[in-house]
Amino acid sequence: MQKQCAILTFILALAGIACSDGTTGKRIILRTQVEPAREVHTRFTTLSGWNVELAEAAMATGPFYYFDGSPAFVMQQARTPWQRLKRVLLPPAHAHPGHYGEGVAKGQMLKEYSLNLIAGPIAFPAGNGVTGLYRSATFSFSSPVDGAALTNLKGNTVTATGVATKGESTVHFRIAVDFATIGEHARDGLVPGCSFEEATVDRAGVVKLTIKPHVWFNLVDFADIAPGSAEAPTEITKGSTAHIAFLLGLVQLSAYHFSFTADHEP
Amino acid sequence: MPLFIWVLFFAQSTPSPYDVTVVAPAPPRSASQSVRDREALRTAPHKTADDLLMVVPGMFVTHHGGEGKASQMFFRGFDAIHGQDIEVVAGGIPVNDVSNIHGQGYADLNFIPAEVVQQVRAQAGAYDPRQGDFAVAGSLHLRLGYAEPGVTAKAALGSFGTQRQFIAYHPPDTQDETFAAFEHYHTDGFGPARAAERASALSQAVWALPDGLKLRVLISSYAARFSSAGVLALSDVRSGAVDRFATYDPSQGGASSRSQALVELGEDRPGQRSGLSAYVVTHGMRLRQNFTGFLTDPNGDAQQQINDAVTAGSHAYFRKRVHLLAPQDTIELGLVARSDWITQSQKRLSSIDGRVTGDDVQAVVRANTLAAYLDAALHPSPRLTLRGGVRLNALGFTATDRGARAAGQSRSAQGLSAGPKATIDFRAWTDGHILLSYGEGFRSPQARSLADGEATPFARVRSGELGVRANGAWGNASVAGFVTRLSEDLVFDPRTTRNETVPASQRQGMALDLTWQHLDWLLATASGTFTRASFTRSDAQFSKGDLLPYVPQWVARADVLFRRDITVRAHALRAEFGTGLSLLMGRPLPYREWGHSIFLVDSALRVRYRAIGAGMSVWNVLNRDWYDGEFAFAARWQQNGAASVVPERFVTVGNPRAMLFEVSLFL
Repeated sequence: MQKQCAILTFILALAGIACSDGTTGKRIILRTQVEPAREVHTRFTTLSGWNVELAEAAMATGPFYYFDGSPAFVMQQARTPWQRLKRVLLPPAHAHPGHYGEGVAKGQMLKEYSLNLIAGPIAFPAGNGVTGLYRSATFSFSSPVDGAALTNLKGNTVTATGVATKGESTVHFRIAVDFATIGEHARDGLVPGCSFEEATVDRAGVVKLTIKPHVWFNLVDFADIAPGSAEAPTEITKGSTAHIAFLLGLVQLSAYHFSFTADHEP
Repeated sequence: MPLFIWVLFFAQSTPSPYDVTVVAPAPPRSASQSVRDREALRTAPHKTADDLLMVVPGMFVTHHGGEGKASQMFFRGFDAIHGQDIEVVAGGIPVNDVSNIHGQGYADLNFIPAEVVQQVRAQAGAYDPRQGDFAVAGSLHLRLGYAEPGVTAKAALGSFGTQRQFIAYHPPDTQDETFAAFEHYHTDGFGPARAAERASALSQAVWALPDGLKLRVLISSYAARFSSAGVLALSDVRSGAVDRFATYDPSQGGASSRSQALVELGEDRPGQRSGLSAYVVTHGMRLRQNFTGFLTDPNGDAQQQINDAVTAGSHAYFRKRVHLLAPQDTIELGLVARSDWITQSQKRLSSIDGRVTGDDVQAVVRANTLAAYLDAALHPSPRLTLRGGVRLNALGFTATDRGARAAGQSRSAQGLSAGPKATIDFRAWTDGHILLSYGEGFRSPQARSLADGEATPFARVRSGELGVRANGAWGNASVAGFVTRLSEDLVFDPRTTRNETVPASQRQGMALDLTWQHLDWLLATASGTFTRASFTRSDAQFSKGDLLPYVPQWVARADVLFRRDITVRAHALRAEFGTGLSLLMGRPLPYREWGHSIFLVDSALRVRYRAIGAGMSVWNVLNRDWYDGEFAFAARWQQNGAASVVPERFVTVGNPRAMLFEVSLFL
């Protein structure tokens, strides 16, 4: 009997220590949703005082990457009273673009896709990642190869049509930018260091990318552009001041904001 | 005349046919301490001394860097990488490199032909005061010798263009410790970038001198060049995007060299024994590797690591029988000294044209290790023995780094570590012992990581074990439970291609070992070890309670040798069939994933008639697809397109079935 007890104890001891769970972290699916900021459906005002209303805005995007490094411009929202107090007492440092340290890659969505911003939110192909702290992201443009706005883009990476008004002036415009031109201002079409609303990701969920077209137009001055008409808007030509200003707006970090919403626990 | 031959010549010229040496195994410091002798070591085929370690209970050895780089060793819940957690001593000379650029404790055993290892003694834990730096998981001692009298000449041909020549001489009527051996090995490898070539010469002689004195001289030299296929993305292997034996970067590989000499003078008198040994080692290592493709540099992330070291050291001990509690009580005092002069560099290379694109490390390191130990064996009662003592280790480092931002900065650090050791050995029945062991050990830090003026921060290990061992004419067996705690650990980080410090950890487990040698025609050894390795503290990357990545939980090994002697024309024809079965299961990987299990069968068939022998060795008899290395990290192997930067699974692919046919002459 003693021998049997000893064997049983041994087996139980072995079973007890054999109940291992796993290593730190886990792989997760990150579904992706892209939506325009609310202004895309209303009117927004640029820095030079033009009120812009968009009739069409389409773009082709490349991979999105998510990192644990601080974004180039620290824009985390203070969500709790303690975080608000901390921001007052210990304001975060504002790094400069070019000083961005992306840190460790935590997630990604690799599919090249296109969307029509006026059509509203759209679900992109799912990405993948690992659990941990998410604090910054890299947005990227691509040549259009897939997605809902393939026909709208006509080979361009970004197109926008709309009307800009300022005082008595009204300009009906259309602007198109191809991938090569974007590459002159953003290496490989990448916009690294975008803000990702700080989140400790511990399970699958949805990464939401909010695109803010008003940032694209912030530097654009429509004063020198022919008025055009709703039926025949003026094409803003490549190389013009307005075109270059629009390009600079396209690669602004503040035009792209990422956030994460976790799935409900089962 | 080469030095190797001189050593042997003098050994032979002073025969001492009337000397009788009785070698008894040292009393065990823990229940799971194991010894594998030549018969067990030769059961299954082994290519190198590295390979032989597979027979050590709880040990699993893989060769992810190619045939020439130090193996990756897993031992009782430790991923010792290339030796960071295992103290390796061969022929009385430490093998671990201090502050090697590729990894702390780098221990390359490829310089020893498998035939000249007479015994492997494995001491798990840190229970013996003789155990020094790197004895975290334990220590391995390889005793060198060659027993076949006269000249042995072997030639072998096998799969994948493998050729091997082995020549040895053991003077008749001398101890097996006196021998000279030469080995040359070449293989084209089982896939691209897997070729290797090495040559090794070892000579050891033992003289029995008057007045109980014994002199041993060991000299060896070795050079190797090898290619390395590196890692493949598991997803690429599974999808068939790459052949499983392909390589992303065929320029990986390296070279290694080692020359060493040891002189040991021992004195054995009634009631006391003493010894003094001195050695010098030169060791060179060059590696080129690329784990991450083009992730951090558009020119490629290839790295070149060079480590050249000269090591000189000595060991002196004096053991005396003293009547404290019983007449057989002993006390031993030992002194250990070791100095390392190391130059090392790490440069980034373009994967496209091989030019140097960055200079990360260009360092000169001076390391001094000084230790003293006191060891006692007391016998309070006929059934009870207390063994133990204390070891003091003083480490001093100076490092000057001229690479990258260091720009010539020099730093020095020094520290002292004390490690108590104790074993209670209770003889429960005639041949059965219950052993309770406790010990504290240490691992020295990477010299370049030290800040100026700081006390050398040792990684401290505390280990305990309780077990039972029994032996008899039938063989021996042991079962033990153990716990090991580390103040800080090291885990491989592919971003830096080095082992980086991670939080404190612990191991809990059980080990079984059995040797069956009751029958003349059969020898069987079997062992199994379960270990749970987990973090006991958290940091930004790892959480308390979670498993350590890469550390296998189950390791098992069985070796069976069948022997048969048949008389043919009045002479014996000896036939042997040996097989070794290796199992590794439950290898946790980062992100709660688990690696593939490994089950391998290696077999050898040997026959010998008078002066002629023939043999066939087969590795991976079942031709199983297996991965000898599994990792998870971010890499970018496509220069164009959407690159995946999230950590993914990478593997190094294990060998397919390989055969080697051998003919031997014994003259």
